[in-house]
Amino acid sequence: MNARLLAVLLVAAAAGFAEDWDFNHVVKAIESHYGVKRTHIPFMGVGNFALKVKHPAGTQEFQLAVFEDLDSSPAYRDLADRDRLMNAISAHGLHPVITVHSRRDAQSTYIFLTDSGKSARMLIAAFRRDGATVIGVKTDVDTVLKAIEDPQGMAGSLGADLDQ
Amino acid sequence: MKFQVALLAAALAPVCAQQLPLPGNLEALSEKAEESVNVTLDGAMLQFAAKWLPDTGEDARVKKLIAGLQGIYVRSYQFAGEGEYSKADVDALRDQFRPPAWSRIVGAHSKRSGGDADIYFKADANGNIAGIVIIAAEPRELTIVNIAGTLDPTQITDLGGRFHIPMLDLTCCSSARRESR
Repeated sequence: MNARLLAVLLVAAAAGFAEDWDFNHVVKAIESHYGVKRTHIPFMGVGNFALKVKHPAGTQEFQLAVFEDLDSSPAYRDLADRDRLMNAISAHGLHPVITVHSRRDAQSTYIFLTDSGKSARMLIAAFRRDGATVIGVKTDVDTVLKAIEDPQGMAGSLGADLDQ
Repeated sequence: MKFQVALLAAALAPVCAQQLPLPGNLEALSEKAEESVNVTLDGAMLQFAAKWLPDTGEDARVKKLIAGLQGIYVRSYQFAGEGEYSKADVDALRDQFRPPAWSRIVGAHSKRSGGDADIYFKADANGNIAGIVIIAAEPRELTIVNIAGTLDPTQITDLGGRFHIPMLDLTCCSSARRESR
């Protein structure tokens, strides 16, 4: 019985670790590539609670990282370089599902997915003119399909401020 | 032995159902485009979506349809003006879909918009549809769709408007072909 309980706990811990790993991997890749650190967000620890109250687009287990002043890096304006960075991330087990570039609005949105059993783990990296937001959420297939139809709209509804 | 064969098939499946190789000039179009969209839904992601789509309503038809697919890949580019991509580049792309492996079932040209739409089918050894490629070239917009897997041609219209696949009115395309070509 104890062995079975331990196995269940280990599987649950491994799943949680994988989800954190995906999010942290994307965040660290951006930090390393552009030589910046994510912006500290006060009270981010209550993010899950706030999300449960707000229920944006059927999501749970919310993670958010915000980057400012990315345009201080000369590489930041290079879209091909950004694609290479994001493609390298996808080589680590995340499925890249959709990429949208808007040169007119100086925005790029990348959505990655992993199938985590009864739900999907969705990572959104939304780049705007001078900064970026990375969002990790556990979500249902309806939200995933909506995100594919309107990636920028979904990024905005989850907190990525693309208008700045 | 069966296990090895299954393992080999599983390993080869992603290779067979990948993004279309684009001619070099088209590969670089996202640099020129005002807006570009790149959709990559491989077999694993489609099976995931199929698993969770409801069995009722319009979604049920899409669920049944995508269950047999190995991948949906879409590249779409919108340009600020005309002439940002060359007709020769698109012709080089079309050249990849020649008989006997591929058949062009729709070739439409609109005199009004100046756009071309081509749909190519690939059949497997049993005569079933094993892949569809759609190339829609408007003066300021280019969309390339690659659908890999088994599907009924009449189901294509169900995918139109989803996953950034253009809405397809095959009746309209057929009549356009008769009128314009």
